[in-house]
Amino acid sequence: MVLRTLFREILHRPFSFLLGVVWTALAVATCLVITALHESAVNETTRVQRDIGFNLRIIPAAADADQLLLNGYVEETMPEQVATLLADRKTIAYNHLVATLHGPVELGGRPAILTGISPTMFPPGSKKPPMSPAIEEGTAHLGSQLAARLGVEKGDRFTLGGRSIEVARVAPESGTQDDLRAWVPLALAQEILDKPSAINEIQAIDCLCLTPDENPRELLRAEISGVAPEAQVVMLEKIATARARQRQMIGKLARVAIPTVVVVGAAGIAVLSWLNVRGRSAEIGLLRVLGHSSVTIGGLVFGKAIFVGFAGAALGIALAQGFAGEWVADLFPMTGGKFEFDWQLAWRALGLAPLLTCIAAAMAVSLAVSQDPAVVLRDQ
Amino acid sequence: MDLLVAHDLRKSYHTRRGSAEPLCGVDLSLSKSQCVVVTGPSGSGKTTLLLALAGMLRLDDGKVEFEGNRVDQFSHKARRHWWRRRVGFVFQSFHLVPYLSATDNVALAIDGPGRRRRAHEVLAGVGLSDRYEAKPITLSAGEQQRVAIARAMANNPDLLLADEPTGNLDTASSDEVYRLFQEFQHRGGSLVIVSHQQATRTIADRVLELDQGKLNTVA
Repeated sequence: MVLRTLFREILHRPFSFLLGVVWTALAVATCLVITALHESAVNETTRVQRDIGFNLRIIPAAADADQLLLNGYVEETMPEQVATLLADRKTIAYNHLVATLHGPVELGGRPAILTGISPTMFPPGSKKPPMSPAIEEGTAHLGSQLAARLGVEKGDRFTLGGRSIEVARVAPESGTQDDLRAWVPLALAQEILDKPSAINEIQAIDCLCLTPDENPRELLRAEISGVAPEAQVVMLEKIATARARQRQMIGKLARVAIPTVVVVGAAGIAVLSWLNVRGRSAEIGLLRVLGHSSVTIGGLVFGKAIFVGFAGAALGIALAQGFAGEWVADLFPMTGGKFEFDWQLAWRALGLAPLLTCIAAAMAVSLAVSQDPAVVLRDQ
Repeated sequence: MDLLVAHDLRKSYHTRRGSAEPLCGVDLSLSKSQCVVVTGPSGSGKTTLLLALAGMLRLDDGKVEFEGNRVDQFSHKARRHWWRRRVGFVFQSFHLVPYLSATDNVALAIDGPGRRRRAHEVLAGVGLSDRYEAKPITLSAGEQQRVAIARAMANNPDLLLADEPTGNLDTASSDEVYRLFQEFQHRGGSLVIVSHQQATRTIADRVLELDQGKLNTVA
């Protein structure tokens, strides 16, 4: 009886039903598109920020930080295992650890900087795409000025510490010391500089997960001194702050926009349900006079809300799927091409939308079940 | 034993425009197979009396008993059951659900899997065997009232409460309604009909007039 009456009522008042479906569809589509844009914005930001570089420099505790600032690296070293020790900790404050050994070398008859780097290490469960390109055994990446000095290009070979090494990449001009740097695998640098198993810096990046009121510098220092007392932390605060602010801004947008859309969507459904019940007061009063229970009467209102939720969610998913891909590709040129619609979230929306429309219709249901049956006699 | 007894019913309303006391000590008894018609001018409280008899009104004082049981003391479930099984309601404006067919409107009052078959039987009983799937909007006023009467009688109730049942009908349709009420009465049903139309009195065993909150016997 409930289903038959429900369908007939929907067919009798199609405008009210369609309005509910469209409203729900817009809310669902907006939520899904915002989520897609948010995730794409995070990916794009991560990709852009990857090129900014590391913002944490962990150096030996005994080193003079002034020397780091003046020369770009310190003379003192610490055991290579410190990097592994930090990476093995399931910590929250840093990621992308790269054990590094810097030292002076002579190339092309003039001074240059040799930097040996390890493969990127990640704390357990925090694996991410590496920020810097890996350097293969027997190859080197050269700064632009150093490559020009040596007269080499990608694929050429040059001699370093008596070894013939292939140029795997020439970095673009940066206007910094990096233009005079040769990057090689860590083991090779240790061998050339005669510092076995030693490093003088661990490059890293803070986790970008801190809230604006947390002090990342203090947190990192406390965390790292507990794990590796032989190390100290120098933070490139401008880069760290820029990263954090950008990430927090994107996160804030999604955190504000999605609940707002959900609340506005639910409010719309609540108003439509309430108007529907008010318009059917005589009909609901009649059902009470005929002895129908609150379950039956509530079922009619909730049943319609469930149909509105399902149909609205299905339409909203279709709309979101159509628009999100197009907009993401336009807005995020670096990563938008790899965008994939989040079907798992869409299925979740299909389940949640009827639940939300039911919650929104609850006020209308309470109005319906408390309907005075006498209304049918008074309302003549 | 009387089927329905109302004793010393009192009800007053207080509004910004003043107060009214449509029921001030109303007594009424109705036995099995009896038809009582209550008349009175507009605003005299006839509908209020019907609401009180149906257990839909919180009275200031007095009691209504159905087969010796106080209606105001029914639980929600018992009252629902009473309305569904023992009492039928007929209204002046029919109160048919506009988007349901005649069959579905009648079936609203019936439980169980055979409800549509039973609805057809009752509709045939009121002469609408050719209008089973008709929507209310396609029915004449007389036909709509016959559907409403079929719905009220679908569960073979003991009591029919009718509020101005012929108020919106022409003479021929009204006569048809009276005929259906008489058939119901002959099958053992009891009726309380509120009406200000003279013709309604022709089917009454007793005619009472509600005047200034009191019921007076007219005939």
